[in-house]
Amino acid sequence: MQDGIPSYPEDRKSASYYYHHKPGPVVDREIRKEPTLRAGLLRDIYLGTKSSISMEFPYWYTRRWMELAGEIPIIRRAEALKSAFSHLTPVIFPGELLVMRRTCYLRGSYPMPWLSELFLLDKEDEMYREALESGQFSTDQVTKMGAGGGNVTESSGNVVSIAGKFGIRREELPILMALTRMWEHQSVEDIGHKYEMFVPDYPEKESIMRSVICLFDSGFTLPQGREVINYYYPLRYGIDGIIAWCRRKIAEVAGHPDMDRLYFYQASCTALEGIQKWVRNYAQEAEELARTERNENQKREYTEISEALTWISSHPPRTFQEALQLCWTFHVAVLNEDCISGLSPGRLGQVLYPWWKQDMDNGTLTREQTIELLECMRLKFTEIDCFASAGVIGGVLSSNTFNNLCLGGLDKDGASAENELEMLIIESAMTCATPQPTLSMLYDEKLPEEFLLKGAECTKTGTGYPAWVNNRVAMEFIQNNYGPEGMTPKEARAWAIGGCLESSAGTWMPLRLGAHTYYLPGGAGAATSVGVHFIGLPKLLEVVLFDGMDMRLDQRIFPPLGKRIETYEDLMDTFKDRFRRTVDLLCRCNNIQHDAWRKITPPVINSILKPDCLTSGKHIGMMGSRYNTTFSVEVSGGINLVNSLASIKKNVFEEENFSLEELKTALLNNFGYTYERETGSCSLFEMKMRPDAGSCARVHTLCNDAPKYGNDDPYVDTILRDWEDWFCNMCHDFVSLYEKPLYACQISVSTHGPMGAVTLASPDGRHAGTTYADASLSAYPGTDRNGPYALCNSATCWDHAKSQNSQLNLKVHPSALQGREGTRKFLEFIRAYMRRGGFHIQFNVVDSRTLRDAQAHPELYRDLMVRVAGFTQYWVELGKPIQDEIIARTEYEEIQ
Amino acid sequence: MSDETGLLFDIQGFSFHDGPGSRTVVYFKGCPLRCRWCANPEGQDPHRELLYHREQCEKDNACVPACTGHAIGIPGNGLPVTVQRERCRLCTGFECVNACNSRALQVSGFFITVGELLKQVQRDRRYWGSSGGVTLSGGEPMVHYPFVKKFLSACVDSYIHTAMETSGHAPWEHYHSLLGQLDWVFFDLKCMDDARHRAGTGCSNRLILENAKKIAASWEGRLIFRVPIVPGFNDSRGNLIATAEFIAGTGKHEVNLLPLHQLGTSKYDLLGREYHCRGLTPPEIPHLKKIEALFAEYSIECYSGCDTPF
Repeated sequence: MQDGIPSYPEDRKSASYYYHHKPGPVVDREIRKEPTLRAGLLRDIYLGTKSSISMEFPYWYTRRWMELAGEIPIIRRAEALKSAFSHLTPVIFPGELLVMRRTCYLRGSYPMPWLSELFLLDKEDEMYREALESGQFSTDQVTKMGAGGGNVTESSGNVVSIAGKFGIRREELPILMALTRMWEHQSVEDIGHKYEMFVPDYPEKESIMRSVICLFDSGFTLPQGREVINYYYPLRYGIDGIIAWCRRKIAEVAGHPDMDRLYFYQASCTALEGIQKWVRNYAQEAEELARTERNENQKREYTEISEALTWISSHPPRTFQEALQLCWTFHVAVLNEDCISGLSPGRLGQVLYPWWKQDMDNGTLTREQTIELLECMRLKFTEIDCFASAGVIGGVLSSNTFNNLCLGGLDKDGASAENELEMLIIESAMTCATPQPTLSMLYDEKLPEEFLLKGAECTKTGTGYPAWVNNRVAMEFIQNNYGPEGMTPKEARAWAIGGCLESSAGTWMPLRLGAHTYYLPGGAGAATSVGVHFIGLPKLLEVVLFDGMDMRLDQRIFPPLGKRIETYEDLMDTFKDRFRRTVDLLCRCNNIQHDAWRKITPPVINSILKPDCLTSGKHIGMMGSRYNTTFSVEVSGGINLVNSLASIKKNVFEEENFSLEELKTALLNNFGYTYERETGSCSLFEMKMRPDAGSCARVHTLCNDAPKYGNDDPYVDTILRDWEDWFCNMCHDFVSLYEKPLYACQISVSTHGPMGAVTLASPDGRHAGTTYADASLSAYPGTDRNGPYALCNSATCWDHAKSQNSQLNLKVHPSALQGREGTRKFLEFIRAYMRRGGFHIQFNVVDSRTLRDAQAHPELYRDLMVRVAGFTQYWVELGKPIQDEIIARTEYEEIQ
Repeated sequence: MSDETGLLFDIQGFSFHDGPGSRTVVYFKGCPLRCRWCANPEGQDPHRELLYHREQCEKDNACVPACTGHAIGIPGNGLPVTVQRERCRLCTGFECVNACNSRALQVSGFFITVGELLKQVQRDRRYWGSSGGVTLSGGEPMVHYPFVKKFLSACVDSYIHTAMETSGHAPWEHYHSLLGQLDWVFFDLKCMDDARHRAGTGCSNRLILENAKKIAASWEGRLIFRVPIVPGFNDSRGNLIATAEFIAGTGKHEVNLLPLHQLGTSKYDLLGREYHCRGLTPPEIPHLKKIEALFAEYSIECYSGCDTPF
C-alpha cells in the first residue's frame, strides 16, 4: 500500500509533527561520486580555509590613484589597476593545475573603499575594540572560527572579524582604516550621495531605505555582475594582440572628435600590461617552486605551469589547459577590478570546445585528464569571495558569488549546442561537488535525451545543480527586451544566465582553429540587476495598509492618503500608486549613483572583454556593450503579496469576516503570537501563541484559510496573473542611466530573509519577522496542499517571457526519484514544466531530517550543500533564517 | 454509495512508484481488510474521520461547544480533549474543525464526483510524461465500485493509462466488468495460509486467490502481484514458496515486494487508534535479496520496493 503522508499537513502548523517526529531512517542521496585524488586534496585545503582579507590590492591601487591626482579618470584608474595587479603576491598551492587567485590568500578578497567606505568607517571603533580584545585570547581559540565553515564570524587571536564573515590580520587593520579614510568624500558612494540629494522628494527615498521597503542601493554596492563574461578576445588574439589592436586604434582616433576613445584605448593598454605583469609574476613563482621542488612529478607540473603562463601572458592559447587557464585569469582580473557578484562564465563548455576537440583529436588529452582539469576549475571558482558589507553579503548573496555555467541551448544556426565537453562538465560537477560554478541547463526540445538525462542525474545528486531554465522563454524575453537595440533571433540564441538567474544577452564570435570555424557564445550586455534593488512587496503592502506609516519604526514613509480604503480596487490602486512612486524615486537616485560609478571607477578590464567596446572605443559605462537595456526593478516576496491580497479580498471585502481595522490590529499583534526574536527561531513552525491572543487568533485562522497560491486555485492565481501583467509592464515606464526602459527581475536570492525580518505579520497569515516565500514562484511553506502538479499549474498561469526571470524551487526527497526509472520520470516532470512555459525550476534533493541534523551538528556536515533561491551553497555557511526556511519549505516525499 | 460520488482521502500527483511513468494516485477511503501493518489506516473506514493533532492543540476547548454530536469531552487538568469517535460517524458538518483556532482538528476524507476527479487528472496528465497515468489505490478502490466503473470509462475515453492497486477482496463480477478498462493491476497477496490471513487482515483469502486466478486467466493487461513483507507474519520460507508457486500457477511472472515501514505510525495517533506493528523492525536488505532469489527459482521477476523496471 502506498503511504498517504505527504499531503497530510492541511495547514502549516500540522506539518510540525511531520518534520519533527516522523520516524524512519534518513534516506541518503542515491548517487555519490568521488573526485580525483588531486581535486580531493585541493578541496580539503579549501574546506579548511577561512575567508580572508588582504590589503595588497587596495593599497597599491590607492597609492597609485593618489599619485595621479588631476589625471583623466579612466587613465588614473587603469594605472591604479596596473599597479595593484603588478604587486599581487603570487601564491601557488601544491597540486594545482590551474593557478592564479584574487589575492595571496586561497579564499581572499578585499574591500574597495573607492566604491564604498562608509560601512567601514562606521565599523572602525568596533573593529579596533575587537582587535584589542581579541589579543587576550589564546591562539588555540582560533579554531572556534570553524563553526560556520569558512566564515570568520568572530575575532580571535591575531584575526579580526569584519562584516561577520571575513578575517583580517591585526597588522593589516591600520592599513585598511588609513585607506578607508583616504577615500572619504571621494568614493562612488559619497559622491553619488551628494548628487542624488538633488532628486526632488529625496527625503522620501531615505525613509524608504530606512524602512527597508528597498533593501539596498545599487551604484556603489555591486555595480557590475549578473552578466556573462566574454573570453573571446584574449582567446583569439592573446593579450599582445589586444594591446596591438588598442595601439592601432589610438593612432586612428588621436586628435579626432570623441577623444574619450583615446583615453579608453590607452587605459586598456595600461590595464593589460598590469595583467601581463601579474601573469608573469605567477610564472616566475612557478619556476621558483620548480627549482626547489624535490618530487619529480610536482616539479614537472610547476615547470609546465610556468611555461604555459609565460606563453599566455602574450599569446593566444595552444591547448585546452592553456585556454582554460586564460579564461580563469581574465575571470579573476575582472573580479579584482570591481565589486562584483554574478560574473558568469556562461556557456564555457561551448567556448572551450575547439581547443578540447583539437587536443582530443591530437591524442594529447584524455577524458580522465579533462575531468581532473574541470574539477580543478570547480575549485578555483569555489575560491571566489566577494567583499561587501554584511547586509549585502548575508542578505543577498548568502556568501555565494553566482558564477553560473550554462549547458545546452541552441547554436547560432538553431541546432542543439550541447557537446561532449559539456557532458564531462556535468560529470566533473558530480565527482567534485562544490558550490561554484553552479550549473544551469538551458532546456530546449532539441537537446538530445541522453544529455538531458545526464543533467537530471546530476540534479539527483542533491547538489542542487543544474537548475533547469527554459531556452525558448528566455530567448523570447531577450528578443523583446533588446529588440530595439537590434537583437535578432539568431543572436538571441547566444544568451546565457548571468549571475544567479538573470537572462543575459550574448553574441556569437567567430574563431578559426585548425580547419574549423567555430562561433563562440559569450556575453554582450552590460551588468544586469542594477537599478532598483529589491522592493519587499509585503513590506510595501504593510506600509500602504497603515496609511504610509512604518509601524515598526513608528515613522511616516508616504504622505497620508486622506481617505479610507473602502474597496479592494481602492487598495490595489493605492498599492500600485505607492509602488510606482517608489520605483520612480529609486530609479532616479540609482541612476545618479551609477553615473558616479562610471565616472570615478569606469570598468576597464571588463570593457576590454565585452563586445563591442574594443571596436567602438567606449567602455561599458558609456554604453560600449552591444546591449544596454540592463537596468531592472527587482522585487521580493511576490507570493506573500499575492496571498495577502487574496486574503484581504476574501475576508475583508467579499465575506466581511473582519474589517480592515481588525486585520491591522491582528497584524500589529502578530496574530497573538510571540515575536521571532523572542523565540530565537526564524522558522514559522516554532511560533508560540500568547495566552492573551484573543480575537487575533480567529483572524489568523481566517487568514490562513484564505486561498493560497500554489494550489491551482483560480481565485488567487488570477490575482497573481493580474499583478505580473501590471508589474512587468509598468517597469517600462521608467528610464535608466543608459536611456533605456527598465524591466522586471524576479528572483529573491536571499533577500526574503532580511526583508521578512523587518515586515510585520502579513494578511496571508505569515508571522512577523519571518522570511517571505523564497524565489518568486515557490509556494509559501506548507500552503501548497495539492502537490507539485498543482503548484506548477499555478506557477505558469502568467507569461514568464515578460520577466527577465521567475523562479520555482522544489525540495524533493531522494526516495521520490530513486532508481534509473526515477531519473527518467524526474526528467519527464521537468520537461512538462518547461512545456507549460515555466522559465525555471530547481530542486533540493535532500531529506529534511538530514537538514535538521546538520543544523544541530554543523561540524558533521561541512560538505552538505543545499539549494537556496537560485544557487548552491554549503549548508553550514547559510544564515539560520535561511536554514529554517529551507527546512520548512515543502518537501515532496514519497516512500516505498 | 452513490454512483456519482466517491469518498477519497487523498489525490497525489508526482507519484513515481505506482505504475509506469509518473502518475496521479487516487486514494479511496474504505477497505474490507484490516491489515495490522496498514500504513494508511485512514483508508480503512468508509466514512469521514476526525484527525486530532494533540501536540498543536491550544486547549482553548473552542471545539467542544461547536460539536453538534456531543462527541468531544474535556478531561480537565490541561489534558487534550477526548473524542468519542463512534459519534463522529454520523456527523456531516464537522463543525469542530471550523471552530478550532489552532487547526489541530482536521477531517480525513472528502467526496468527489467523477467529473471533478477527471478534471484534476486531466490537469495532471501533462506532467506525467508519455507513459504515465492514473492509479487507483486506497483503501480499496473496489469499495467504490460504481464510481470506479464510471471513472475508468471516462479515463479510457480520454486516452488515459489506468492502473489499480487492489486487495483482491471484491466480487468477481465487479473485477470482470472493470478489467476491460484497466491497463495495469497491482494485486496484493498477503499470506497464503487462510488462518494466518484471517489473523493478519481480519479476512479470508479465499475470494482473493480465486479472483487472482480468474484475472490472470482472462485478462491481457499487466498483472503484478504485490507482497507486503511483514516480518514474522508472512516472510517465512514456507509462505513465500507457497506464494511463488501460486503466482507461477497463474501464468504471470512479476512480483513487487513492499517491505514493512513505520511511516504510518503517526497517523494511528491522529486517529486515536492502536498501531499493532509499532516498533516492528522493517526487513533488512539481505533478507529481501534472499526473497528475490527465491522467486527467481520460479522464474518470477521480483522487484523490491520502488526498485522497479517501470
